[in-house]
Amino acid sequence: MTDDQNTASSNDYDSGPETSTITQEIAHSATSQQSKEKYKTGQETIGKDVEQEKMEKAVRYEFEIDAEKYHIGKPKRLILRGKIIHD
Amino acid sequence: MIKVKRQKWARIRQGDIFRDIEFLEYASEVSGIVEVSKIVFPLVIVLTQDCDLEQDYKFRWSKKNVKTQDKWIISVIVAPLYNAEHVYEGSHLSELGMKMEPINKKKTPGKNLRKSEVPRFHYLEFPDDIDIVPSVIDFKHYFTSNVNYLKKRKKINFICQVSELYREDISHRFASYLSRIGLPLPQK
Repeated sequence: MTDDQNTASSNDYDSGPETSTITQEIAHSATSQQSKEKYKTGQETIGKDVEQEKMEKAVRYEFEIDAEKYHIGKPKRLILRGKIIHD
Repeated sequence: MIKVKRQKWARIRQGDIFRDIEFLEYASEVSGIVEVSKIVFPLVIVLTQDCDLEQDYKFRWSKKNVKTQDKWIISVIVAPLYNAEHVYEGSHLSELGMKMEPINKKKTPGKNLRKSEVPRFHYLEFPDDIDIVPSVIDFKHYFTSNVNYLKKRKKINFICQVSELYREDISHRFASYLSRIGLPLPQK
């Protein structure tokens, strides 16, 4: 198959099913945070699976990133620790 | 020096180079405390076969009525690119608390690395207009990444794609490295 046949419009980027896990969503949210800060993940970051919908009503997660600035050019480990808060 | 393509296609392609890709080491929960550990790799290259990526994209995103998800892949194989200067020093994983074996840049080991004669490594020099320093792929450090995650990352984290001839070379060497047979050392 040629490249042309694989070309997709920009709309195709986000048109598929969202199957990310909670953990992944949290991790992705953390990517853009380069300094130490707190943030919360709300309902919008959790998938639409029935079980997850139940969870999002009952549980919130609060995370604090143990992050220093990225060291340019070398892999860096980031550890996120969070407390589960029951509403 | 290799040749690259700068065109950004919607789908993930073999030879794509991404920046700032996360590898999830673990996620654990103990007594209500959740801990997530991840490594952020400055550069990775996609190694999964392009036909598999093509099929996955076609059947996952085409919106055609398909009865199965037979062609979907679970994850994408990638391998990190390390700054060659850091590799010579053995310091490329120093931020992870790991010390690697130094490679003498000016002597035979360094020359062999640059000629990609060491099975574990693949040396790459990029065209001047690509903002990547001479780098080394370490096949031993391959890992997998989520398909949806990479696809979303393609929008902003894609740098370039290694051209076909060079990516085939990388793919072939990776397969060869993975299929090597470790023989026992002769008894003394």
